Amino acid sequence: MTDERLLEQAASGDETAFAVIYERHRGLVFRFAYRLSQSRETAEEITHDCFLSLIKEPQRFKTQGQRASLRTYLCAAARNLAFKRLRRAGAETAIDDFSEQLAAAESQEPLRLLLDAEVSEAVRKAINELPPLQREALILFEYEELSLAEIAEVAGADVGTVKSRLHRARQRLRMLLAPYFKDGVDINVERCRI
Amino acid sequence: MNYLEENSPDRNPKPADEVIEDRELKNLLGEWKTPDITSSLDKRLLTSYRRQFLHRPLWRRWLTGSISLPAPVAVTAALLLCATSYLAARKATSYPLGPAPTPPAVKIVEVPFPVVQERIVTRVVYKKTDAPKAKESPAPVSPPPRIDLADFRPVSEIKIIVSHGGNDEK
Repeated sequence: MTDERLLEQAASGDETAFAVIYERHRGLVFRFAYRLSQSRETAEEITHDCFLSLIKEPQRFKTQGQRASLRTYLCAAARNLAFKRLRRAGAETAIDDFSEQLAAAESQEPLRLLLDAEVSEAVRKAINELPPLQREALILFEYEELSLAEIAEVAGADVGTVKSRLHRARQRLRMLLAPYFKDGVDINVERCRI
Repeated sequence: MNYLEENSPDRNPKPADEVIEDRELKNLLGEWKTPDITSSLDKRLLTSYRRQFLHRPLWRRWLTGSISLPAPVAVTAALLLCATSYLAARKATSYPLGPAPTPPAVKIVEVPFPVVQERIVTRVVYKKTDAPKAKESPAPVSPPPRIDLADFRPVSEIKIIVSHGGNDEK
């Protein structure tokens, strides 16, 4: 059954339909929220609010449903909630892109100190170093495997902007995680057409 | 590449435009795992969902509500409905298709008529039987009266009157 049909039933009180939608998309929403916020509690709250707002106002998805799938809609909702929390936490300036050179220089030292720590912790911290918009593009592309067009829909930007953010995020991560690469800081990229 | 397996249901083909795939970076990023969703979130969300519908007005719940049935129950109910409909239709077609005869209308009209008083007349009819039936038991026979002509005298004058059956005009 399609997401649209399930949503209709869930919005009219069908708990089973709601459970199916939730089962289908909760992983995506939670992972995305967790990687953006880096906090389990926050990610759970975002996931909760995300699904509840979907049921409270299903017409918001319907109006956007002409061009968006439910998963991109949910990602966009999770993104808005996460950024709202970041702003509330005083991280407003970090949402916009800032000087990458400066930020990279600042983050070199902590990463070097993490050489003995778990790789996952290093990656988590490196991603946390990214400006939110770059982080968002990277998470959706690398972890959730959304297409550039889908990420553009979620972020409300054009595909070129998303591509640029993704490129900068990768460059920065290459620098931040340099000790964990076999080839050091050399970027080993493989061009491919999918 | 564990995170790829984790996301496999959501895997989506990339657009046809050229993208750069950095496999080494991707592998390294895959080392960062996300925790599992706690069951408390599931429960909390379901509770919030139910509460959302509890606050709806009753008429709206009636109008937009739906029920879910297990598939075997639904199939059985559908089969029963079909069978009942079929039997009902079959029974209906066994009657003549023409219009049913209308019962004659009963019209009550009061007609006055004279009531004839019955008169009961009792008559005793003596019937002379020719001969007593042999089979019947013989009644006691009285002896015939004796005729005596001792006082008989002939009349001095004979006056003859001819009458015609009682007709006075003639």
